[in-house]
Amino acid sequence: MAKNLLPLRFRVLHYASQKDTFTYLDLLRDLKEEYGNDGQFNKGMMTLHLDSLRAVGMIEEADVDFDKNQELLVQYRITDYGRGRLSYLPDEWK
Amino acid sequence: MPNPAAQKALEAHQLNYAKKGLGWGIFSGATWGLQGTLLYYLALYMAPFWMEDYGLWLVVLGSLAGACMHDGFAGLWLAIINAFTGRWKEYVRTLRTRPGKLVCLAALCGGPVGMAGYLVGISLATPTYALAISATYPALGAILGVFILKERIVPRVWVGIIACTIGAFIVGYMPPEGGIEQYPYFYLGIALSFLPAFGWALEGVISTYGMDMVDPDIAIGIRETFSFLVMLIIVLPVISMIGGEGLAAGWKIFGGALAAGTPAMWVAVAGLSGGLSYLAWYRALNMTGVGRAMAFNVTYALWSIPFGWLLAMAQGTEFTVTTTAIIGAVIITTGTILVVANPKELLKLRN
Repeated sequence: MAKNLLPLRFRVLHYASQKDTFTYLDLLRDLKEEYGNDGQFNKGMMTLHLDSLRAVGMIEEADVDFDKNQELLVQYRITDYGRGRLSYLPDEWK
Repeated sequence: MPNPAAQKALEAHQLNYAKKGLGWGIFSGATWGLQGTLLYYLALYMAPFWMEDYGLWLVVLGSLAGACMHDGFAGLWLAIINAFTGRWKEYVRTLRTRPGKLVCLAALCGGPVGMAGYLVGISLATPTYALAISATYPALGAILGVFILKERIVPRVWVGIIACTIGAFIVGYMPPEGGIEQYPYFYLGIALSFLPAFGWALEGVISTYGMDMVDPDIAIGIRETFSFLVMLIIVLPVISMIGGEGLAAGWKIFGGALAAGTPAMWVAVAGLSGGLSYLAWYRALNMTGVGRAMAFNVTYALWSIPFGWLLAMAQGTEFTVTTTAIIGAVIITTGTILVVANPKELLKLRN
């Protein structure tokens, strides 16, 4: 049986737990199959989810640079606090 | 090697995020003042929410029916906003998770428990005492935030939070009328007045905890809808029975207001303002922490002055501001400035 989709922000945290570091571009590429039909699946909303998770301490920046369009590109990684909160994910996602 | 220019740009981006949180906090206070003015000074004075011959319990039920309808409309407006921003599927996804269920618990504390305690407390123990007790919720919320969420609050911000709380109390203060012997359930009313203080403080802390993972826009959509359902299905009939008015008295007022049209329309307008205000408050809770967001929320006491004045202008009636209200407004403004003074503190919300 297919797993129930998580709320996007939960999914981002789960994704973070599976990668060393990642950017919003990785999320938009790798989660497209699951969330591609959501109206919220765009750069602006993904950046907002990342900003929020960062502000409450679930993820932190690992590196930052400019992309070829001179736009900020932040590499994030999960924190110990964020890893602790993975226990709130439904069993099928643990 | 890290790129220093990119580091600087990132810092500016994060500071901008923190400032947006402060902006949402101030917006929540202003729109809450507008909601209060529309709901309590306009809609709830219309029949059948309020009628001259209502006894004590019918007055309470009228206010509760209005509060219930307000949350219903706010929930509806928020659902529309979330549908437009492509997030309607998030409701069910979120409710399947534990943090999503925590948001329902927060809704229970703030909506039915807080609101019912507030309205019944005012009726049983005079507004003077009931409002004084319930107005302590921002300070209480800030204290719970430090202990439960390990929020970092510097002394200057503490002074600001306490100033906002005192200011809101002064603006809302009403001198007692007559002795308490006129109020047979006075002490019960005092006890019930602690429900909103704890209910709203707990709502802030529990929802903020849940919103570490739950999108605030979805959290508030769930909160308003859940609060509406519990008020309609449980609170209205229970308070009707306790007051000896029969099971359906609250529902009759609710249905009567919908049928009458105009009162329900004004509650719908108040629900739009209230829904936006709550949306802003939940975003501020998530972006700036419980302590600060609570302080912003009580600035509604300040905003009710200009909105009350505008409403009086529109209705062609006289509007007077008392000296105590101005003193309270000055204290709130000072408190708010102390709270927002250094957005850089928001770059790390927790210890």
